[in-house]
Amino acid sequence: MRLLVSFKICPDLELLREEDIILTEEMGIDTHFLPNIINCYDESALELALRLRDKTKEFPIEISAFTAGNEQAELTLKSLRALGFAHTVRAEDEKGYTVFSSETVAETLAAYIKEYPQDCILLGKEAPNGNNGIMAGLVSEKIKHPLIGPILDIIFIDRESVTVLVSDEGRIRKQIVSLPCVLCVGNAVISKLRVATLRERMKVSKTESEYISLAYPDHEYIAAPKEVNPMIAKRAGYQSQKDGSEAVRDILRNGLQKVLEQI
Amino acid sequence: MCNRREEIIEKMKQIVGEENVVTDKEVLEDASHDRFRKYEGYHKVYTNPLPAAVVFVNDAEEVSSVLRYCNSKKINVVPRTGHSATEGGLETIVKDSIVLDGSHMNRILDIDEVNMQATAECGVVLEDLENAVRKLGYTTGHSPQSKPIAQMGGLVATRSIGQFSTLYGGIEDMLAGVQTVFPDGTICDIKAVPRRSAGPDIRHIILGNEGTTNFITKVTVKLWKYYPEHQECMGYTLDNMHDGLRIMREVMVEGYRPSVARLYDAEDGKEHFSHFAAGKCVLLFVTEGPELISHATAEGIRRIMTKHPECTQVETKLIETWFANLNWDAARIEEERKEVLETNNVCCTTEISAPWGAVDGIYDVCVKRIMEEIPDITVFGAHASHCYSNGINLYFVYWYNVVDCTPEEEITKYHLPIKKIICEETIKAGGSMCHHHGVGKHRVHWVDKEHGSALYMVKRLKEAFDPNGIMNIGTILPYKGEK
Repeated sequence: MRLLVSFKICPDLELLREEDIILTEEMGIDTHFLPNIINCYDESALELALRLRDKTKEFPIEISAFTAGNEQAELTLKSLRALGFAHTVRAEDEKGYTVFSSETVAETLAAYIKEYPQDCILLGKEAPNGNNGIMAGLVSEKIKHPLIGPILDIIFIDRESVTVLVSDEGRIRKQIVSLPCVLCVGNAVISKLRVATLRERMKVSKTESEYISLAYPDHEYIAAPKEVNPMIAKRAGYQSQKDGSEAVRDILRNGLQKVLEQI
Repeated sequence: MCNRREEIIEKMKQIVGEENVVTDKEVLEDASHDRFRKYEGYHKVYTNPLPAAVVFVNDAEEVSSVLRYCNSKKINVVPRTGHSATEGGLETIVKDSIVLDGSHMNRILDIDEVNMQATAECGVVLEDLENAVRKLGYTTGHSPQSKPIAQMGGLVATRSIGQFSTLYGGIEDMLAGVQTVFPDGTICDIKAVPRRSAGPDIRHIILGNEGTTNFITKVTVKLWKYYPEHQECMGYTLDNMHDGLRIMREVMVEGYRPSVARLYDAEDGKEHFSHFAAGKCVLLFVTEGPELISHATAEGIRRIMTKHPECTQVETKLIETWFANLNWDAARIEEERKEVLETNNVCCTTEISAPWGAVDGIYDVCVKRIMEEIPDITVFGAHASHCYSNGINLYFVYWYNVVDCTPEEEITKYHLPIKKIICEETIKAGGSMCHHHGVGKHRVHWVDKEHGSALYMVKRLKEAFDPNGIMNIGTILPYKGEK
């Protein structure tokens, strides 16, 4: 049986001080100086996968990990191999698309799954940068597997189905889902990934990840708005004198600064 | 409850008032240990006898009355303020102890801008004192990682040291005056003067006593002008820890005094700098003070660094961000608790000091032996964070998975064997087994080798000031009685 976990490496935004908030040309916040962490929901997904593998005695489960990003993910990938992930896959991002482009990452992951079919795909429900929560849905749609979530725990798996605990508007229910499926992990029963020992890491020191290319979309990803939306122009209590995408840039640069000054 | 405990509790209530005597079971459990047994504590396992009570005192007279009583009845007293100790110094290893807590004595008494000193009661949190003096443009210069929770009494009692020590020194360089209470109830005030030669420096009977001879009630520390705008940060990556140690020595021997000089090996550095220095050692310096001095120091260090092509400079912002998030507060400790319970992965430390000629060998042998002899290690590394002209410290940081053992077995399976290797190898090489955390109760096994013939002086001090042996039994000197 094959299980794949998709995870994202993110800057640790809890360490971002107010005085360090600087807008980039791409209308984001510069975070290059922040340490990286595994997105917390993905971290739960990784640990749930390991626990499922450990407690399933009837048949072996081969677990793989997938991420899209640059070489900063390599340390985590090596740790995952040390913990027993059979395959670690990194989609290399040359154009800096991955931070907000769920579409690109989902397309890449879907292509990988089509080539290497998986019985169950796990991923966290959202990441702190981007925070759109659509990745799981996109993957599910592209590979035509049902999406269940947000799940809290994976109780049991057999060759036909997986039993999970699902969070459902303040209640928890048990659900049996036919395989293959996509599981979206929310506030799970476990939040931290176990730690590989030095000896485990040394055993995999000569191994490497598999590298694939990102499936960049054909179109230009960032579309410029054609008209000024008065609500956008007034956002953050700042009235921009500019139009269109220039208004958005102006508000993010100057409007945000004004709001911060008032705090 | 046996009569003795009841008697103790009743007497404490008479002295300090009922509201200041806590006998709640959860509080007593928490008071029976410190961060050395954090793994046990997180699992709510308490292997030490519970104290009879936690007694909060409000002034030196109350401390005197409590100690006089305990001295007469031979009741073990564990002095405590911030509860941030890491070496077992706060453990109540004999039954019917009392934990004497000074955290209610939390007033900043005086900030003297003419004489550049501040006086605070023992229960003042260092960060509160630092914030108060910074409002006036000063700094205490003392910044251990525990700054948000550690209190002045404990900081003096453990001979603590902070991140800016290379410029400002350790607590022993900062303490100008102190008030303390001895087991027989005598309250002693050591006045704050710049320097004197009136016999031995008796402040050093107080500094580092770890609650074994007296209870500190008030401290006076020096102040410096604070120049944050003149701070200059420099960071470098390099491949080799030994190269880094040589560079640190060069900086110190040449006469430069940055406020911060730190060197991380690749393993320890992984926990902090993997986003820009994966697999590398990291060397960093911070200078501060008046503009000309800070800048000249930074320039001097930069000139030294240009002679070392093995070092690659990194962006200052990376170091500044890391430094801003270094300290520990209650929220981080809670985060650690959750992480330990979920992963069974524990972080502990042992800090030593060594002359320059010995530090490389100590580092190498400890890394080698730990890797070979200790199971389930997930990280074993070190950083050097306090530099002197005649040597440096090493702060060994190690993480391990707790596998197939109960919480109460954890320290005998992992922590103590690791500490044994580090302490023994350090002492063998001519270093000191404890740089700034104190002996506590878990390095007592090597205190005879640590002091050698000078152990005579340590023992006689204890006999002189605590003849009945009531002060923090089992700390600094081993306890041979029944627990």
